[in-house]
Amino acid sequence: MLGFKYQNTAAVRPARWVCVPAVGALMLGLAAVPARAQSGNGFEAEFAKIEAALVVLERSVGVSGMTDEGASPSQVAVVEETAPEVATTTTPPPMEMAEPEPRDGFTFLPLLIDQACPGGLNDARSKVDELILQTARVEGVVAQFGERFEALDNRNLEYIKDDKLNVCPTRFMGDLGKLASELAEPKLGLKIQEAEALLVCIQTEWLDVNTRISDLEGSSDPKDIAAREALGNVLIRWAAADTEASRAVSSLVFYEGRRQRLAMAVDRIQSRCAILGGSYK
Amino acid sequence: MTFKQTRNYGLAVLAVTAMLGLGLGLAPALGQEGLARQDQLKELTADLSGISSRVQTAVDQTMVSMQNLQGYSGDEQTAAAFAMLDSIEAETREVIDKIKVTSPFMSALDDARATVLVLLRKNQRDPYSTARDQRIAALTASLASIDEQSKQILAAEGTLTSLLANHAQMRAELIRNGEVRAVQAFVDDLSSLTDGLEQMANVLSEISDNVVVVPTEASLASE
Repeated sequence: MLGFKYQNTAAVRPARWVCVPAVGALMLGLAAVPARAQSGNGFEAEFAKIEAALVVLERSVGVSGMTDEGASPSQVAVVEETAPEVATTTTPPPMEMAEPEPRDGFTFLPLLIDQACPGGLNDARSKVDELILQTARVEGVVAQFGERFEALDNRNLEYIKDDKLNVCPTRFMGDLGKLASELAEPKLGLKIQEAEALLVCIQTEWLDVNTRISDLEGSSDPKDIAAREALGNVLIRWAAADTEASRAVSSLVFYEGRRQRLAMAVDRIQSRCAILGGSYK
Repeated sequence: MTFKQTRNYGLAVLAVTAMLGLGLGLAPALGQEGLARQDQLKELTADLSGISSRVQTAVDQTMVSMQNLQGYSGDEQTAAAFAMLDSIEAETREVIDKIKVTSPFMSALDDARATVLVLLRKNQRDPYSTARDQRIAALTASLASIDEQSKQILAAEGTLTSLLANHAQMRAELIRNGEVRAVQAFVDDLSSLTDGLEQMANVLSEISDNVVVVPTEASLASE
């Protein structure tokens, strides 16, 4: 329950317990219990009802791309006819994005500006889900690196204490070299760049819906009030995608940082071994 | 937890955080998670503080033992010297375990860094406003503070590993000589190790006194 929030990753990333605040639970009709403790079936049934209600609301104000597997087949068919899931926009240019300063740790690659954005919310959701799966795979690889490093580090500390050993054992050096070359492999920078491009698309949509709500604020026209409420529900869904995508990007940044730190730590041990022409101490 | 359950769980939580975001007129909040992370960092820094105090006590005890060393006989001196080395070594290992790359503390710190970094970039993409600039300033300050702590810890880990190596040399010398070669020389050598460890204890203490503040969208909005 640590680490990348969707996996059991205690060895990699710190734990994050999330409780559903009572206010939100009331609004959604969910029980106010820690989210992880929700029982599957009842929760899913409630969720499906809410999803279906949201789809109806969204359609009532003409929001496109809102199909969802939680809706009934007929609902999905209607939406598909009117709003096919095609990529129609591209990643917007960064707004006043400062050049990343080189720091200790991960540095972002420049934002992609010509990547196609999702065609709608449903498409965005599936891309976020895909990103979450990719992140879980990265997590598995980095967790394994961490375990292997820890074993080597423990051996290193034992060797430091062993006065009879004044040269790093050949096998130990071989293991270090193997880990070093594997740590150099993953190209997480590019994955993060793509993930952030998706996040920018979602953030833009989110801000757009938020602006539309703001424009309707203050109007007492019943149509505007209804539209505002419906857009509020749409906003929730974009916000959900935004938060999950943000979390996935931050997880990838964490794993990339961890990979870099491990690579530096392995390098330090190798350097220590190399001092005095291979003498260990 | 299955993926679907996870997704549902995530959506439910996020829907709520979005509600909070709506109320605040800001981007979706990560409030509860941010608090959990902040609490965890506090807990871990308090843990470092405990280690720091214990190391300090061990160092003090070693100093007292060193002062008494002159009064022992040859064998007693050797036994006392080994006991002191054992004690210092155990403390050194304990501190290393707390701050090594894969330790929970470093994981929490790196996790906070990743989250703040992504949040900072998101805010930089937001349309200009005074509030947005304030949020960027808070996040930048937080990032600088996290980077400073990481730097201190990395340096401390290197120093401690060197201490452990020096320590092993002293132990080897004791074994070779069969007795404390010259009490004064041993005391001088050990003093340099305890000084190093004491310095590390101070670094840990300083870190534990300055818990990194990890802003969240919710906390930034409320400020």
